[in-house]
Amino acid sequence: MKETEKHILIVGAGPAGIEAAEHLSDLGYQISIVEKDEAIGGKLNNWHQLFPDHRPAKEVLSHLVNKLPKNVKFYLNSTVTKTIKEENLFNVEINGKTKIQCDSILLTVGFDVFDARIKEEYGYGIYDNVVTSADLEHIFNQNNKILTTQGKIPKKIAFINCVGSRDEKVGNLYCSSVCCVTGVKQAIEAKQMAPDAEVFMFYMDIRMYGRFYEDLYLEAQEKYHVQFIRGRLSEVAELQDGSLLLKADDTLAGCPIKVHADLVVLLIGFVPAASCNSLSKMLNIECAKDGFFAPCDVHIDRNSTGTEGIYMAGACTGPKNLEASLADARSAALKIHYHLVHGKATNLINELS
Amino acid sequence: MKFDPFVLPFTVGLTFMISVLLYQYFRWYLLLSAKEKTIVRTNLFTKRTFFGFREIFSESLFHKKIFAKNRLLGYMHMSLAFGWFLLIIVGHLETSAYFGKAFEAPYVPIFLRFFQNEATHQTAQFGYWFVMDTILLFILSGVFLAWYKRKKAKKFGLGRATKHAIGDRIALTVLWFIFPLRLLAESITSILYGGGSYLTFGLGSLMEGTIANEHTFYFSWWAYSISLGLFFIFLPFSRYMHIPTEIGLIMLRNWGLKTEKNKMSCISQFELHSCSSCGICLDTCQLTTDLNSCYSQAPYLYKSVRNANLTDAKLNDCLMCGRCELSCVVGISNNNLRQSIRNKVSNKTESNLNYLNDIKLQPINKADVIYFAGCMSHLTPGIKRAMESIFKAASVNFSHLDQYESVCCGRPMMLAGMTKQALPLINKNKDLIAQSGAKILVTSCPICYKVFKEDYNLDIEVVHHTTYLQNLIDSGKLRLQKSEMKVVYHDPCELGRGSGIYEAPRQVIKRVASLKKTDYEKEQALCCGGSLANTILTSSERNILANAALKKMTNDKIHTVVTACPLCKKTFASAQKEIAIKDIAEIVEMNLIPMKVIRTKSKKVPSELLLNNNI
Amino acid sequence: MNHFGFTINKDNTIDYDNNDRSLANEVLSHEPSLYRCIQCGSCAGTCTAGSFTDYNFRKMHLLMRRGEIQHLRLAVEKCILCGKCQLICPRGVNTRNVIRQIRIALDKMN
Repeated sequence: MKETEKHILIVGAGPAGIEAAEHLSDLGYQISIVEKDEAIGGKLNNWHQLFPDHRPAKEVLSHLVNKLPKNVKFYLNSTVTKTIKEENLFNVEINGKTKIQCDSILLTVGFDVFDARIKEEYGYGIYDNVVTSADLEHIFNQNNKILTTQGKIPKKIAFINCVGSRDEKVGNLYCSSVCCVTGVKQAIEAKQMAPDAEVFMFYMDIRMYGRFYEDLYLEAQEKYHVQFIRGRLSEVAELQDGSLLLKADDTLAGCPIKVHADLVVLLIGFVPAASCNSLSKMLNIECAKDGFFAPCDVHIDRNSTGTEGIYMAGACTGPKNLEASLADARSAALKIHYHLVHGKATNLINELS
Repeated sequence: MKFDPFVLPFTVGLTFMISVLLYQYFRWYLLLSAKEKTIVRTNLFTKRTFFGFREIFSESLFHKKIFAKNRLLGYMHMSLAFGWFLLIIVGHLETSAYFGKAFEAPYVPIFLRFFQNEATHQTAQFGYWFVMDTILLFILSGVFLAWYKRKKAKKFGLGRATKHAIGDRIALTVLWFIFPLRLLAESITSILYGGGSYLTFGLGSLMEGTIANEHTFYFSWWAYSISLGLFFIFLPFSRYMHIPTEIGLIMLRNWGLKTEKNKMSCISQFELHSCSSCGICLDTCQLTTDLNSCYSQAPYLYKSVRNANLTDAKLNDCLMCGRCELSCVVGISNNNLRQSIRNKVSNKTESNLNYLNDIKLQPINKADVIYFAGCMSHLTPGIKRAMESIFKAASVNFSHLDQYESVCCGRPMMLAGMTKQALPLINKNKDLIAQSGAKILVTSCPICYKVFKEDYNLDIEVVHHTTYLQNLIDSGKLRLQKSEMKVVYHDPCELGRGSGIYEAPRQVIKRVASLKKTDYEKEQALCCGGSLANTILTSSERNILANAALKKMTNDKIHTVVTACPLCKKTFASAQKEIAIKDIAEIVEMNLIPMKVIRTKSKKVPSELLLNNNI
Repeated sequence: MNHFGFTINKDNTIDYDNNDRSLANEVLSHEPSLYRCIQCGSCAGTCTAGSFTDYNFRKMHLLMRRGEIQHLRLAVEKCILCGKCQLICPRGVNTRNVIRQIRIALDKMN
């Protein structure tokens, strides 16, 4: 089944891109990957431990990277600047100069994290000890400890759910799906690193949708005594001593609540990658109203785009966890393979209608 | 005695109208406060009265302001108003010329052609006939334009014509008939009995032997009289009330009376009824241009008040941004009137703010300057933080009035018409301000600034933070560097049109950034859409207004907008992500050159550290 | 636990079917954005009046929608219309208009 003539371009060397590259290369295709950063692995590089089992992110990353065959060609620090489709081939320009030709394109451009400065009332970028969940992973990676920005071990830590998601006031109405489980995971880690600290989580809902996630929730409550307060955080204020005052409505208790904290962690959500918009214009593929690439069919075909030969996978098609991104990448790889073997897309939709 | 039954509709109508007007004006006269009466009395026999008469001529008759807006529109209004005026005046002159008496029955000058064969003197007939025909032609050109305007408003510089209520429609139709009917009557008279000049005789000749006969002659005079009579009867109940009322308004204004924002005073009533529904203001309203919502603007509000069918939505669906006031050719203070009407409606709304007496706030430290951030600023702490840094950099002895909790300034309640209900808030804040012993109150919110200045009656100086920043800069207390940032300044409604502060923010911005011009500056600034005065708009409608305003201001060329109001900042920031929105205090703070060593803080956001460390 | 400063002297259950929800329906018909509320509590957490008194917008309109309107009038009198709740609501509920419509509906009821 060697198809050494056909060439596939993958845009984005995050987990989805790498996984698809590995499978497609195995199926015999020539693979090139364009990546805007100077290293591959995408956001997986930034995480400390993964849910649901606290497994080190680096472990999964190196597994993915090691599986990659040597003949995959990488263009790092690069972006796609132009694409022209000529019959069944794509003429792609990279960085405004390099020109390559390929038979199919797979978009795995991933996502960006929500810029928490937009949620000004939480004080990110204004007060010292307000950090995001992404920052916290970095702090964990650097120090293997949980520390305030002054380098001290915090006594009271508050996790804030739904920052930048489900919020009409920042223009993101969707749920980013993984922030709840990320928060619970981090709350557990925080307690592990600072056993004497009090850890709070201010939530609207606790969405532990995945397998083994609910166990984490139970563990957080029972073993680590994390206090879950159902009330979306309204404001953060900074006191003279640098500690933070949180104001929320304790909806279950039925009245407002004020809590002091040394460290506030904002569980930020996904936003579409910066390149989604420009790529959608360049390649004439639709973005849904949440800004991520629109699925061809929500149930049956989430990897095809409106343009034949261009496919998509991973977080750029909507917020998802790591295993879903990897599964999506495999699904896209199979679709691309079918397309290149049979000379056309599966087009199940046309068959159904 | 010159009389014919056909003059009855006219006479009855005229009498009815005058009675209703007198009755109405008397009721409004009763609304004058003692203070207002004194003002009028003082100015009655001064040159102000002369200025008033002059303005009546230039505005009520010549419509100078409308001419400035659009020549065709101006000509249309002028031809009707001035033309009719001339018709009456010259008609009276003509009457006294024919009958040698100074005064005849009031209907005689109007129906002079009918009665003129009874004339005793025949002075300068042809001259008068020529002049009267010309005046009639002049008016008829206006009538034609008025009809044409309803079809093609754009030619008159209007986006649309006003929609009319049934009373207005009847009055309008009847009005349009008056002068053509006069033409008809005078033309038939001219060919049958003589009199008239090129217009009436010319038309009469065309009808000779066909339409013109004794029956149509009599019928046309009846028709003319009836149309006049009907118009008079409907006038006090339609927008044409503005004709006599505007004259009264001009005089009252020249004598020094002004509308208030919490009371429907005498002059408020005169203003409300002086709205002619001309529709010029509709195009300046962002609800019209951006949301295609055209039912709650001032002309419609006043119409509803006149017809007693005001709805909650019509009264409250208004940004009260003040843009319509700029374009009103009659100078109606729409915001004051709307707020006064809201006051009347909400007068009995129950409110219980007694809890303010018992609250425990953080102690207010004594200081020279007291800073009030305002409710909104708790959601935009960047502004508060910037002000704190600036105060410290300038070594100002300041304290917070509302560091962790604000007692609302009270203006949101007042905008909703609950003025007296807001008093406990005002009293509480005045108490707290007094506790600080401060000489200056600085606030970073224009909404609060306006109420502090206008309704609090404070002994101390009240400044908006833009003015305060300018003072600090001018007195050398702040050292600033100029950055490369290219920005556009958005005049907040409450600060700009609302308080007249346009220059101070610009002077401050120019010190720290490159201020670019926009087509929507100062008085012409657009509203962000966040308005507290409008309680009807949905959040997506506000986003539309915000985005439309930003697009117009920046022309997609500038990527940072500076404003001086926390509500504007939050509204713009919530509507889109592409353009950065900053408060003036924030850009000043960004460009401070420290005068002394102050606690330096890492301004780098943690994730900025992160992105540089990918492996 | 006190509701709006008064102890409730009735069964500690909301009898949903027998409660009169006409006032709530009236308010909802004039301000349908209230349907979107998920009771997150941002409004009550930021409320100016709520930091000084037991006024709680979230709870007030929840009870109203359940038909528990005994204390609605005393509660809604405390709102000062500052608008922070509206600026922070993640669902875009037009909270200030809800307050106004509650007051109008209560006045109509009397």
